[in-house]
Amino acid sequence: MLALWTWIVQALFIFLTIDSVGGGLLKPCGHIIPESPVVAPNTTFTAICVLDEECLSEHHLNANQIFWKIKDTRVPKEQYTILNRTAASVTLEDVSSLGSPLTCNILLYGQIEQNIYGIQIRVGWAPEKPKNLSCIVNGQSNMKCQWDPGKETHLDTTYVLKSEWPTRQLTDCIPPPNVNNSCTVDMVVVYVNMDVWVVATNVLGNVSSDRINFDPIDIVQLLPPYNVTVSNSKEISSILKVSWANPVDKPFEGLKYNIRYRTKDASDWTLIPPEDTASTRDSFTVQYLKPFTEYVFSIRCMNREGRGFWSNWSAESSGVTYEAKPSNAPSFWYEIDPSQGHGYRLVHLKWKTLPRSEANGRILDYEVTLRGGKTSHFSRLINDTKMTLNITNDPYVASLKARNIVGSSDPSTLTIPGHDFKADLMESKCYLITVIPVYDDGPGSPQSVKAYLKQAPPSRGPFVRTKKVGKNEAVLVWEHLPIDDQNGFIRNYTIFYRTSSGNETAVHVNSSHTEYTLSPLTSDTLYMVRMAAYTDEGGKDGPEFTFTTPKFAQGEIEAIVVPVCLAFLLTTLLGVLLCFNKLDLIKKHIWPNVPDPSKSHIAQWSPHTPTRHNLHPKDQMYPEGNFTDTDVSVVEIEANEKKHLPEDLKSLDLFKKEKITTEGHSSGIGGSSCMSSSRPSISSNDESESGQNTSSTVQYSTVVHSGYRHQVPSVQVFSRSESTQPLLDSEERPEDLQIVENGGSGDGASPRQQYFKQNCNQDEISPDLPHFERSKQVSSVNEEDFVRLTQQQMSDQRSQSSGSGPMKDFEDISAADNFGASNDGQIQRFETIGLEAATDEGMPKSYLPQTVRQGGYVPQ
Amino acid sequence: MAKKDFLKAFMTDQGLNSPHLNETCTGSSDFPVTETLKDLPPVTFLQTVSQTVRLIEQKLNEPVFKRMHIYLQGIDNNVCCMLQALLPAPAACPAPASRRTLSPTPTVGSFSWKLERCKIIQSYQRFMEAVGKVLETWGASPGQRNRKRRSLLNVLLGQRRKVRAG
Repeated sequence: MLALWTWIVQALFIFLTIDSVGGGLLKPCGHIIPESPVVAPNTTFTAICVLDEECLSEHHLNANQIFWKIKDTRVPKEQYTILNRTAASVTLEDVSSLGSPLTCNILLYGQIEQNIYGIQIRVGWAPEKPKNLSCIVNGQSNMKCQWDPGKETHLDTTYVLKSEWPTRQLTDCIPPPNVNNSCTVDMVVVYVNMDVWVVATNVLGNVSSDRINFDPIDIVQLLPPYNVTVSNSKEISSILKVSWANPVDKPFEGLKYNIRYRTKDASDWTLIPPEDTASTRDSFTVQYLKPFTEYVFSIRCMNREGRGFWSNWSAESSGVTYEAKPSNAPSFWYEIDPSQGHGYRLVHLKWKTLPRSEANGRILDYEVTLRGGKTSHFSRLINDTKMTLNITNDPYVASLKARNIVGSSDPSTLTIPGHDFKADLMESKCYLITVIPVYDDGPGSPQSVKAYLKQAPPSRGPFVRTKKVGKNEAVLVWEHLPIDDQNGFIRNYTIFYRTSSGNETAVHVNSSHTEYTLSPLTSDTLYMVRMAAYTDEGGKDGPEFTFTTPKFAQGEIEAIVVPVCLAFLLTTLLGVLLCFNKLDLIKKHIWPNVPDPSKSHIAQWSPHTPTRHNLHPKDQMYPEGNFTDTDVSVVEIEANEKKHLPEDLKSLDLFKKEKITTEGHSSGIGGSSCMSSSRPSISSNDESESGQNTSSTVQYSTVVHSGYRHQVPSVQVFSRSESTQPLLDSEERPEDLQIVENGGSGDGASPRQQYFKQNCNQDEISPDLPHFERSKQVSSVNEEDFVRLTQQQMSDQRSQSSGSGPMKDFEDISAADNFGASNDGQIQRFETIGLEAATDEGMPKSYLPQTVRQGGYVPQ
Repeated sequence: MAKKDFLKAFMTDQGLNSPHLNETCTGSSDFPVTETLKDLPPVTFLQTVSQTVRLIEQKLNEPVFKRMHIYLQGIDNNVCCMLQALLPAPAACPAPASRRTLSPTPTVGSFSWKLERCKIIQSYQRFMEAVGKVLETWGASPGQRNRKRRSLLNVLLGQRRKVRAG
């Protein structure tokens, strides 16, 4: 313990002294530096003993003769240092483990130890940094700050509470003596932020706590409310009004409260809901209290806004609620003394006093009323809890009420049987027999039992019905028999069930049950079930109930149907996906492509029909009756032809290529149908009729053109075919063919042409471009052709390195159209063109550019 | 004391609690009134408040006014903090001017001294009421300044209520 280190210097007896010059006082022969050292534990301490010159010379001493002692223990010489002839030092490690005092001694004449000087070493710590500084403003007058000073320093340590505002230093607060952990500031100004901190100082140093900054208004703790009083209400026995005076010394107006209460004998408090006491007030009425009960109240308060701290709880104050009429009738019983003769008997009535919680006040007396016998009515008030009556042998009814200042309790009633009372009990009826013990101070707890004089079988059996019927089980339910039908104690039930053709099965069920599950049952079967209840004397069957088990269990049908539907749906989806993916293949095998007769633009090449390049409405181009055979020129183009075309025929190359491609995939009749279909269609003057005509027998023809490859127009030759194959849709629509045939005409006035003409105004665009134009009457076959054409073009594009002739021609057109320098650009452009044609069918004559999407063409 | 009504406290302490004397204390004031203060720019307004408060501090420098003194210093501190938000630090809170030589005052404790002091306190509370009214008209603004303003306002309003209560 450090206390051990706080020594009081005992008298040092200086044995070796020199005479004082003056008054004969002794003077030490030397001294120790430092005189009063304060050392921290675990530190090294050095002391120096300096001998007086006069003493040295007188006793022939020097510093070599100095030795040091702590208490009575000599310090080892190894710790000494001879500084000079008169001074020697000693160095001590960890002084806290050594004793005190430390003395400087000298050995006289080599054998006599003489003490020169001694010092007291004080060991202690520098102050620790004060922690947990906190302040509370009491009311509005003063502020108390507390802190944790840390461990004991064992030295004189001062603590100063410092504070300042942003603009000025405030007066220091110095704790009273022997207080090192709190200080109270006399005057504090609220609504001004201040810094507060603590400075601890002793000889080993000083240290400051952390600063805390606050507005004193936020740390106010008021004094508790005072003058708390409690009053009751005569009108309402369940309330008490608590009144108090609010603390005066407060820097704000708004207060809120906590009000707690308990009954006098209880230890647990009940808190009024804080939301009910959240505003400034000086009274509060507490409700729902017990009548005639003493309650203790206590209150505390704080700033309404919740800033600061709750005050301490006020002094407790108690009050008693007003009385109410007794809430229960007293327990009541009788004893009969039959010793009286002459038709009279003594009846001793007795009752218990009501407990305080039921009396609801001070019981003034009891009112006993007797009815029956010769005196039909008798009433008496009595203060006691017993009463003896001399009554006749007739039966009576006695009643008892407890009364207090407010009113009477409900009566408790008692039947006093007649002298010759005999119970008339019946068989197979249930009786409740109750035994009530009677003690000197009143009746005890009653015990009851049910009993039959004699049991009998039940009057009827239970009604059983099904609660739930499953495929292989059924849940049966029933109700207990009414007491009047039981005729005894029901011991068990028996359930009988059977199918229409099977044997009956019986199941015994405990009498406490009202539900039973029959299992296993056969599905889709009619069952008949009935139930019997048994007493000790026999049983009785109830009515029969029938039910049919279902064929399928719940959810079974769904379990079959849903997977089947899903499988079907999946199969359908797969089929649809397959169709989309293999559309071309399916098309090829199911409805082969027939070359589009409209592609027979080669006829335009004919020098005899130059104007057919003009696209005119049908009625203009072919006025009724004006169409002649010479209007059609058909050229058969062989796919392997690679001959260079003259410039004016380049525009036809695309169609030529298409035709070549188409022929390559079409059936044998495709090539001829292209030519033969046009003939009857065009020659007809009536469109509708032509359509009908083509559905009948049509003569097909094959046209062979021999001059085309050599760029020399030749005489058109038509060979009639005897084929009776019906025309394809496009073949049945001559107007399509006419327009397409004339689609390349530069004089056409249709908007679509105009659109392209605008493009053509650009120098790079070939005037032959209109060959790609279509009217809206282009058939679906043509759409497919265009799609296929595009695909073929792309295919050809990929194979262009092989240098095929048609592809080269195609490229020439593309380049002339300036749709892009790269091959990709060309492909893109042709896709666009193809789409325009393809989508024209379902659209008015609007020629908006289209874009390509993967897998098809869609309008932009 | 729920509200710091310095005038009432002073009158009670000095035995001046009579309606007649209350009227005697009510005289003309040398401090700016609401009409003057409300038209001042914020900086000027705050400087005026600071100067007035410091002047009152000088006038009421007897030990009996120690509590009021520290209260005034708190107000001056808050005004200074508000000024620091508006002006450079050195100019915001100038050091208190050297004590002006006040006119000779009566002997402390004499009746004339009491009357003079009660007039000063009365004037001070009226001035603070005017300051509070002006501050209430200042629009809310976020940040420290607003907080300081409210702090000052709280101080002043608390005091104004006291005046009313008194």
